[in-house]
Amino acid sequence: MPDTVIEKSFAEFEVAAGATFRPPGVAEAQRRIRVRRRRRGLLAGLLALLLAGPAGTYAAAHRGDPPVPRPIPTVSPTPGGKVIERKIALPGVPGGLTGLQFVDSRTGWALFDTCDSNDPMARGCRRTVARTTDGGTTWTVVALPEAPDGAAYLLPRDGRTLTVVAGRRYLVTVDGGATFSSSPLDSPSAATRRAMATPNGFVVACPSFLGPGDGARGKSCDRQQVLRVDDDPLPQQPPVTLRPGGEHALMEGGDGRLWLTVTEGDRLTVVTSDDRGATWRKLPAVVGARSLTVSPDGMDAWLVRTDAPNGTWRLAGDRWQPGPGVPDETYEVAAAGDGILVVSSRYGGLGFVADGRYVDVPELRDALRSNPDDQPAVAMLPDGTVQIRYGGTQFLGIGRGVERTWIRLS
Amino acid sequence: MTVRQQTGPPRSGTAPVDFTEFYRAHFHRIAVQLYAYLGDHAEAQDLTQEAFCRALERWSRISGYDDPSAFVRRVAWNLATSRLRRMRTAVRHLARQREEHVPGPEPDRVALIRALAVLPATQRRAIVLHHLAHLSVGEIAEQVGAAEGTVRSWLSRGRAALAGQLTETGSEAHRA
Repeated sequence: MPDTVIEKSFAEFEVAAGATFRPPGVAEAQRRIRVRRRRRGLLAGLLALLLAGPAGTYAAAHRGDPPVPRPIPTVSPTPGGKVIERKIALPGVPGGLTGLQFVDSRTGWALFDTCDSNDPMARGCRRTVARTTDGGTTWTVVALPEAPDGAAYLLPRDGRTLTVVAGRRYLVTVDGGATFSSSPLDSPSAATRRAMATPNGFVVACPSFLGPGDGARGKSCDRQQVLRVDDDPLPQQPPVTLRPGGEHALMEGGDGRLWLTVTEGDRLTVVTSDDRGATWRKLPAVVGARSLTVSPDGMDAWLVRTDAPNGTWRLAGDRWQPGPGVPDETYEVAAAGDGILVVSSRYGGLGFVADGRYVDVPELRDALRSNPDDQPAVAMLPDGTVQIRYGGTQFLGIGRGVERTWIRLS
Repeated sequence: MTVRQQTGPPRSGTAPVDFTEFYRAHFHRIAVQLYAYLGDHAEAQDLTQEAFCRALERWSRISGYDDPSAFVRRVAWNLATSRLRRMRTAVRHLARQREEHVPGPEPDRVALIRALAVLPATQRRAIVLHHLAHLSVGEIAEQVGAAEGTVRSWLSRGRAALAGQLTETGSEAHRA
């Protein structure tokens, strides 16, 4: 009898629910792929998505404070060409690792959860946050208060400031996890707002935009603007039209220079400001370019196209000069600085384009092909560390140029 | 959950499936599965579209599989249970804070969604894969990376809980 009830319920559900879906269509799928390829040139910060939704404006930035001069981590190149394994295990902490965010090669945050952290219906969850300051070798549990039920995410700004989005509340620490404060989802603290903006607090949104919980208002206007989340309006707006839902992106380099990209049709235009938005300079549009990537120090800017015919353009002065090609099956590209690009493959694997040639990283070849449906997302952390997200695993490439020590954290 | 190897060797001597035709034939079925699992209509539609995007990006290879729809189903489910979804969920969640609410689903659909929502995620996933994706125990085990005995246990417990919920809901409706 119970099975009959269940079968009948599912059969009715399938018919009734099936009729309610309106497939966006193949053309929309193609458009989404194009947009994603444009975005891949930028670091995918959460605000980007928060502000814009899947197809709109977003801000992406090198997270954390501007890079502080520090010694390059004293890790020798990967011994024997092997990847160093670091398993994140916290004795006595319930649940499994569900979130991992590094802000530089040494500092990162981890979320352990007894629930599926993706599940908005999760209940009775026991959640623990830990912090590392030695590249994931050791972890310290922080004083996270009891987190609300529902989905949970980590949103770090740097090694001291972290927002945990849990259910309908933000739990925020600005002292490395010693203490937390709590605020409702529609009333984020200044620290949370800053965590969702570029390092100096810039976003692209409607003039009435109030904060990250203000998604609809942030998109409901004829024209968006470059704003500072906690400061007066900019005296000068960039000389481009920023339509809500348009294909544009804002990022900030480690040197504080702002980069705004606007795509119209097949043309990508970059507008830049090196005085925090006081004045703007429009660079020549490039037909066929999809996205912009800027090195962590802000000194090396590239336009990239990863779909056929793929290509790159490097900024020289105020001109884009054609650069070397990237492999046919390139998934993402990030500028590492000094003319070097980090390139991940749609089918796994990672390499560098340097001196006009692509060079594979052999020790990552198998590691990034273990799950054929995962694709390696690549980005640069503010201190020049290469970050690869691959399914639930994260890789850090520590060092300079193409000489890297690779660490797998899981 | 991770997606294991592809859904079979490339077909030999078979004409590749047209993507548009493939999309039309399979979108609804996969979206319904995710809706039942997530309880979120918009999210289910978006994740299904994303899974088809990933298939489209690799269509030259996937179209040669024996069952390309199995690839999309696995990717869609992977997305629904993966960490990558967290950002997307947060986006959608926050963006809705000031958006107007739209009319909810019909009551009969709500009943099943509510009943499924009280199940642990593992049981809910197994139940949906069995009753909506029509996968066998072995196929579910392969997809979710669990032992067949574990899947049987999930199905058994899930069915018992679900039947209780649905019967209770039906009784309440009658009393009302």
